[in-house]
Amino acid sequence: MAGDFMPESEAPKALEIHNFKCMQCGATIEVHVPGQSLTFACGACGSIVQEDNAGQRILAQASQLNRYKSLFALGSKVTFRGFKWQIIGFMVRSDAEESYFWREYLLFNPYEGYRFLMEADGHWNFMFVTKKQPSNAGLNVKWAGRRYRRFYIGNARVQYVLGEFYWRVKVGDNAAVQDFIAPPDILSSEKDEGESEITWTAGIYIPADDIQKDFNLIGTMPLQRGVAPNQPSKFYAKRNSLILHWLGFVVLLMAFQLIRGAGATKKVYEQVLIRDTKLTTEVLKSESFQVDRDGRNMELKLRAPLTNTWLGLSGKIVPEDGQGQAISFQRELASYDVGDDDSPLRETSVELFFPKLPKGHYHFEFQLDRDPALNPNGKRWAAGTNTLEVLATLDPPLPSNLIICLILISIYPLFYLLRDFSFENSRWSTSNQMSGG
Amino acid sequence: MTNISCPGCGAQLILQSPATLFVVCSYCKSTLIRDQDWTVYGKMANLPAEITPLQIGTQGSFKGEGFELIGRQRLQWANGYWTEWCANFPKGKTAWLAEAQGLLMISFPTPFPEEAKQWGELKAGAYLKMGNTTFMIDDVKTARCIGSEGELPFTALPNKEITSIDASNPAGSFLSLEIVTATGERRAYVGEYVEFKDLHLKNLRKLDGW
Repeated sequence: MAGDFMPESEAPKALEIHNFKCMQCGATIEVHVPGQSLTFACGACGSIVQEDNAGQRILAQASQLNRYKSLFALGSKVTFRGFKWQIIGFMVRSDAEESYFWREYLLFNPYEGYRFLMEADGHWNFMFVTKKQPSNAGLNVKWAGRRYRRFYIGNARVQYVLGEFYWRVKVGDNAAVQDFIAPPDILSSEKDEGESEITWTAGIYIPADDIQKDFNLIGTMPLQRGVAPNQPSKFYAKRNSLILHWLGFVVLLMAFQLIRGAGATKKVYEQVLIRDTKLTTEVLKSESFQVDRDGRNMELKLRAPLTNTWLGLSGKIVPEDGQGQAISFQRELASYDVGDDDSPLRETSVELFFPKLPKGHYHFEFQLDRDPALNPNGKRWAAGTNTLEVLATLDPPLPSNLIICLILISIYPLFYLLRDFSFENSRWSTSNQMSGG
Repeated sequence: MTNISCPGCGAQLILQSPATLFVVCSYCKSTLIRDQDWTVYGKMANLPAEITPLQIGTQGSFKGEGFELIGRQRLQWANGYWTEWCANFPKGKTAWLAEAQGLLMISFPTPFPEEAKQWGELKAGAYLKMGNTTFMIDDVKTARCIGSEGELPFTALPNKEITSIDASNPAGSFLSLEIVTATGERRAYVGEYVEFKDLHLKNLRKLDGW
């Protein structure tokens, strides 16, 4: 970068030749970027001078009603993000309802061009003009390989200007603006009233601490409020890693359980019981089977092939070693080609679940009730209706210490996900767009 | 390179490009136009002050090819100014380095698009095809030359009025069309936006305080 070629004390004189006197109050208006600035606002009286089409400076606005304070001295230079910047302009804008105000600083470097430093509710963005048009992607846009979600559509009205700008601007000027976000990045479009050209600016969220560190603030840092549209979520940044770690732990726990041989699903009883087809009511008793440890869950599947009839099923799990009471259940199976609602009905199997059985031997007892109307003469029942298939399996038990482990490792990720959710809620609460997915 | 003697003041001027048709004498500010021979047309006033690190003699490179800035014209339109620097590449190839509102663009001459010949139809938002590339017109504006310097491949006298049409596409390339009001000459350039550092510029003008 070019250095000074004059002694430091003489350098400012060379610039002073571009300064001029305010037509309204006679105070000196400094010009930092001759040949590019078109608007100059007098720091003394607030008058706004603009260059007309012929290059003549004329008074565009004699005074400004409201005065706002710039957080930085105009004309001062700072080094920020690797380059030296001169702060040349300060502008306050609001929405059309004048309910929401924000501040914009125009920064200049003769090699790098212009930048905008924006402050709203104590949140900062560092932006530049881009001529790369984003492409449409539904409500969102795509720019520089990233998808930006539409966050805000509205108006921006100029409330106050101070310093110099490379475009013509005065109090009351309106622009239609749109903001799109891909935190920490932001993309904004702006169209001045009566103009056809859309200006796109792209930028990034700047932590207030960085501004405090690199800039010379006049007064105190504005109080930070709420969540900025493109403020990066520290929760979101950690989210994927947290979920991955959590899943890893869960897999480890499960693997540990398997290795301990606590038993995968175990078949404890499987039999096809043959029914006596002459009886309307009969009781079938299974053989004895064993539950090897306390607290195991049993799943029982029953199936009976039926054709246009029903079967009442009253069952019992009967303990044989005095390990508690028998467990009873009742179900009905049915199969009809034409059911109540004129469509076929097929309910020929049932699954039952019995949690936490004590260890010991058991057997099943099934009382079967058939439709007596189908067997008025005590003749044989139709073929295919004379079996009851029984399959009982034991689930791997979930020891309580495993459950405690699962809860423990889930607390932190859950807390983070909730924080992330509430952070995103705060972000979108200031949007006038649907938050989408 | 060609040597000419300024018909205004007799100074020896070294021309870098064989395509040069217009010269502002760096000594006496005479504007010289090449016809059969070089003739003095008038005098160029000093260009208004501006902050730019670019100057005649600045060298750089673009995509590995070296260039030198040999001339410029300054233009004014309703909403500001821009400068077009003539960049001389080897073998007589010229390009334009435009400087506007803190942005830099480099562009190379291209045949004027057939579609754009009814240019009265062209307005902001319309699409324009150049070969396989589609551009969208960003703006159509009238501009006038407010001064020039060095050597240029066309005349750039003060108050020369042009219609300038800028078009761009999402890939970041742009198309610039110029129609000279007085003569109807049409010129088209295609190029892209560039970063200052990407041009590896040297022999820059020193700027106070920067």
